[in-house]
Amino acid sequence: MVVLTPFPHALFALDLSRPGAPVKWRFVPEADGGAEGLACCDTINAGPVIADGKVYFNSLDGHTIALDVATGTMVWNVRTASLDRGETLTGAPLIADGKIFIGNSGDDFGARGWIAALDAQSGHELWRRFSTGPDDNVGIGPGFQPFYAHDHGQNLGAASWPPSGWQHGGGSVSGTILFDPVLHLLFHGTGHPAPWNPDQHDGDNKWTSGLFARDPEDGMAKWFDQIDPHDLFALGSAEPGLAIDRDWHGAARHLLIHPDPDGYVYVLDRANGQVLSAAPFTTVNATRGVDLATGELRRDSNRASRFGTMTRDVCPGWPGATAAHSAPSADGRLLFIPVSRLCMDMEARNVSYIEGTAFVGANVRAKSPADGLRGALVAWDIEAAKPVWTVPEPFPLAGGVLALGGVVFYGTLDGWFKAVDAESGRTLWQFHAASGIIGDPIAYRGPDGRPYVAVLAGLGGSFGMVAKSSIDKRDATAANGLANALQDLPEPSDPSGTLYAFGLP
Amino acid sequence: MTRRLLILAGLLALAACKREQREVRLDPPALDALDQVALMPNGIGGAPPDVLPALGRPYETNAYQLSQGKRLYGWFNCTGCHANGGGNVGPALMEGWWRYGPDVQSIFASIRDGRPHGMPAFKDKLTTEQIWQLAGYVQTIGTYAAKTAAPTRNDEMQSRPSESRGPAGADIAPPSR
Amino acid sequence: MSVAPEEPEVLDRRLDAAALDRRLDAVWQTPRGLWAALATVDHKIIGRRYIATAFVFLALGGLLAVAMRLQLARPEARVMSADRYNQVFTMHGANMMFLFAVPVMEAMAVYLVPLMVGTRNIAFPRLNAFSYWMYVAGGIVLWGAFVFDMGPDIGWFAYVPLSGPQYAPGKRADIWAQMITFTEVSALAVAVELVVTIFKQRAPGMSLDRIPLFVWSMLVTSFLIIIAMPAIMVASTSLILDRLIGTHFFNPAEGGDVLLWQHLFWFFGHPEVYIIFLPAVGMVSTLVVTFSRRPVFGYLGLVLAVISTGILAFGLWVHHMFVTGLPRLGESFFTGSSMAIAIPSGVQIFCWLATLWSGRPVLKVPLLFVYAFLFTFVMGGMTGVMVASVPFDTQVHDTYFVVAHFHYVLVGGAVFPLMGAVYYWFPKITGRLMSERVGRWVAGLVFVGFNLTFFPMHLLGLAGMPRRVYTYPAEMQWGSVNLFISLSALVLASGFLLFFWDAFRSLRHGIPAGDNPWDAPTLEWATSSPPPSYNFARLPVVSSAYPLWDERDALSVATGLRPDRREVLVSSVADARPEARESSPRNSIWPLWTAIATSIMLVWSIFTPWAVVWGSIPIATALIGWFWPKGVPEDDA
Repeated sequence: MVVLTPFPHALFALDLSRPGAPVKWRFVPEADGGAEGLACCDTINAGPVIADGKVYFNSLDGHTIALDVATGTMVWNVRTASLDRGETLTGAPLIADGKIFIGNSGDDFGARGWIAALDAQSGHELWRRFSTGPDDNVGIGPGFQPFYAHDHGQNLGAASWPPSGWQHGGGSVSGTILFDPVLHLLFHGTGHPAPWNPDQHDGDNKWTSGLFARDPEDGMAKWFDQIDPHDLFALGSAEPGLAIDRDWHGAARHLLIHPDPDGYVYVLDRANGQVLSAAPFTTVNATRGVDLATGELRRDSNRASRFGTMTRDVCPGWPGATAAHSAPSADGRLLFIPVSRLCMDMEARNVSYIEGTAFVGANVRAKSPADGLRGALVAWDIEAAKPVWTVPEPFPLAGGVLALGGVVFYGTLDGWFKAVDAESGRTLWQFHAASGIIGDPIAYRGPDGRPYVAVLAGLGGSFGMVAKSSIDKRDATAANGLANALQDLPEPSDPSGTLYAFGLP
Repeated sequence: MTRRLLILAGLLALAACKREQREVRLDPPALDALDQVALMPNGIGGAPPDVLPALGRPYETNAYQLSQGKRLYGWFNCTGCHANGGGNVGPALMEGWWRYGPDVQSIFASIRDGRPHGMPAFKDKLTTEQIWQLAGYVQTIGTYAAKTAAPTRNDEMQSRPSESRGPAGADIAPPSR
Repeated sequence: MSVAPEEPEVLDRRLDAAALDRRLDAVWQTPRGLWAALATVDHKIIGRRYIATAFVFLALGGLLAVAMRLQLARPEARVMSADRYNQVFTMHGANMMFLFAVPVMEAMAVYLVPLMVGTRNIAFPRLNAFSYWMYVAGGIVLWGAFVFDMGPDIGWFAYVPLSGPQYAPGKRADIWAQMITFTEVSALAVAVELVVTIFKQRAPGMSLDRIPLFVWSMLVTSFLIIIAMPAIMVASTSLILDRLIGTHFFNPAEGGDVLLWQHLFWFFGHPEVYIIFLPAVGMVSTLVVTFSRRPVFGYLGLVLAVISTGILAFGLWVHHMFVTGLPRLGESFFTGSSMAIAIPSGVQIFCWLATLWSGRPVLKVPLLFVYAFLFTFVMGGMTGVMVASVPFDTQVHDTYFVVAHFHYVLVGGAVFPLMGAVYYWFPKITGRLMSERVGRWVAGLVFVGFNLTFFPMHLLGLAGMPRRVYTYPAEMQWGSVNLFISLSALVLASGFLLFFWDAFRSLRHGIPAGDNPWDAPTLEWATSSPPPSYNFARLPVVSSAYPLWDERDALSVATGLRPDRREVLVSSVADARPEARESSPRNSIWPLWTAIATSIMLVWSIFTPWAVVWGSIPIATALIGWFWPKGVPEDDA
């Protein structure tokens, strides 16, 4: 098992065949400490990936590194992101077709989002496509066929912005990148536009807060669906969701099930980008549903944020209604969504782009919703587009979900690792870890043939930052306003990270 | 007795003088001299420029300079990483615990030269006087003792008690759930 | 209180003039010495002090104006820095409005109203003393701050957000706000005293339709003060709370409103100018009557005009806010009301003109000032109707046109009558006349100087010169007009200097005036100049509005008050039928202690909110001392 720590990174290889899983090798790349000043949401990482005897990972300071998994020697180390432009790397690479696909982070630092492909053997960059800018930067060409009319046009990635606004426009590709071997397409989401102050990014802000389908060979876009044009609340749509092939209302279709931070579960036909359904999985007051004819959100103008005014009790708040990975049930009927029910007050302020500093432009205060339950695990019926059961949680769910054989595993911010029944949501088992859990649980079959579930415990990330010793919760706007809503988040008894592995019967 | 009272009143008045003066622009030689902070080799602590006491330490005691610091704190995106003193990407400034020392010249050096682990250097983005204004203001965010000259609230969202109430020592709940 | 059956010897019926004078003086006098001077509650002594202090503030404010004109005489002048200039114009406005204009009118009323209504002392005499000490304290706080570079620099009406915690660092704006508290407490106190005196302490027979017009003006003014002042106290208190403890009255982000300040301030601010103007109207009525040598034409009309001006004054305030983006329909209403208030003013002017026309005018200095007032105030009123129109005001708001307008109405409408009133009542207050010859020079210099100074400001304003700018570039072509204005301001200043010089000189060397040098009809001229400590040996009884004209040989008087303790006569509101004898407090040092305790609390509360808690203790102690029975005969009634 290979485990990656937060920045400054250390990569451990654990030998599972020996009792106690001792460390087989350890790799510590050189780290540029300056990257910590560009980490909007703590110095976390989505983890390494292994393929063809190599392990690949991204480091916060902008390097993509390949090591030999048996020995830990470095195969190649390429600098792919530029700290000078506010770019950092927090996502996990995707390996497919002999290529490594990576995307950057840095919306909050005015970095332009991009997705790049590297050659898996050598690390050479094959192509790079941006989320804003002229069509040739973005990869819009003759093969681009968006489903909706408002995504057609020339150079929309520059025209739907104020002059030169796209150059620091955000739209990072910080979430998972999906590869569909059936349609031979890549799917990814783009983050929110920069800055948060919506009056500083007039226009629809293509191609942020939306979903792309791209050709993995050259990165040219096949379709794009803008989930949240002119994103008012810095929600973004960075996580694309899950690609599932199943029946949809009688016909077999290639679907992309996308639970979005704006609070709706979108079901799209991933062949052409059509939105088949969009239904809310949690309380939403900033918008009033999605118009399926045009694919656009219907906004509530009372809740629009504007420069110099305070917009109160916007739900969902900027962390989004879901900020972690969902998991499907084995039969593809249900989707288990980790939910954050936090709302926020937002006051947009003017901001200038200053290199190396945050490009945000908002005073934000996150708040609990009226009923005080800040998180939930929702089991969502995909076809019926409504929840089957909901397990309320006192804290927002920051970590991902694992669905395995009728049991759903997830971890909470206050350190509980739980297993609930997939049909009813009844808690079957829980374990209190030494620290809060923000990572995804994984399942594997050990060398002894037994199934195991493992999870990393270590409080951090956007939500967990609030419990860091360097954050003072007395300022309501600390940690982007989360200090206001998470005053009671317990500081972990052990501030370091711990790996837990549980054997299943 | 009357003379002593008069002297006391005079001193108080002079103190008030200093707090309320509005020095909008220093002479260039004074500005150059303000840049001469003698830092220790490890970059933590050191001696302030000689000219600072001669000017009356305005960046820590003058209400106008502190309010300018507060304005610059917002204008130069300090809030993006440090929030209103609570921290975010960067550490909290209102705890009253200073990683590189509590004195104003260390804070000045942090802003001017940057620090490892991500504090950018502002020497090419701000004038020396502006960096001193910011440093003096940042000190008041993490002060235990309430200062009359420190700024009070801005006309924007409220996040914590104002700098004039000694926020580092404040025992407070957040403004709203 | 009921009139207890007294032995006849105790009352003043049988005493002859000399004995009565001796016994009354023993009871009512303020002895010599510092302690007695601090403890006096004699309205004439307090009134004299009040007037003198107000004129000191006038002189100081005038010096500030000269300083401003020196700075503006040439483009890009360096006479003073921008920060100093901000303090100077704020101080000029705040000083003139809060420390001169309202207090001097109050002061004249404090001195004259009890004499004019025929009573021995003003109602609540200790409150009167307290009011003076608070006024002086407020002036010292404001001017002391200015001397120490802490003077407020936010304009005399201190709009938020400029005066709020974000944009006004330090304590300067708090000094302004607390000065408001001092002066408003002081003004409210005098207003209350005047209302009670005028309603309840009038000479027998002085029914409501026989009250002198100056007293009517002061009555209406006092009601204006009582209703308008609380608005600014709320505003200034909210400002202090916002600045000191971080409330959000004026913070839009947390639910407050910036325009709230303007509404609260101008709800006070517009009646404020009528608080300044209506007493001057009363003075003009008095002067016109005396110097036309005939009863006023349209007494009822004049009284109703004063009352309706007072009522309408509360319906105009939004005309100061025409450029804030309020709904047009609302603004139009205030255009209408702002123009409508010219109607009662017009009634008054025509009544005065008719009186002068049909009388036999005596062209003495006070009447010269009345003529100056008529010309200047009417000019100011005309520009007032101009700025009442929203489109015009949008063009000239915050330019020198508005400066010209309000100086015309304030100086023309208040200062000229005041100067005439000073010439008129100086002999009564001091016993000596001011110089007629010098007075003509003063009137001429001030009138010419004023018009030469302020008329060109209309043109400057139309040419676009904004208010409150410490300098202007030469390219704007405003330099020559500004230089002309500054030189004319020196002429105006010389007129005032001559006025002060004449006043000082006449104190010692003026021609002794008799009881009634102007042959005036009102009651204050029925006693000696200056009046004795007890005002009238026996209280007059009136049967007309012009008692000294209608009973030339001998004035009817009332007897029945005790000469061995301080007593005043309380009469009914409408017909002034005697109702009771009320005792009047003796000299007391407690108002001074209370004023000191209050001043300490108010100044301390600029720095910490706990001052309100701890500072209340000395105030409570002082109030207990104030009200504790002293064991003197006056305690019984």
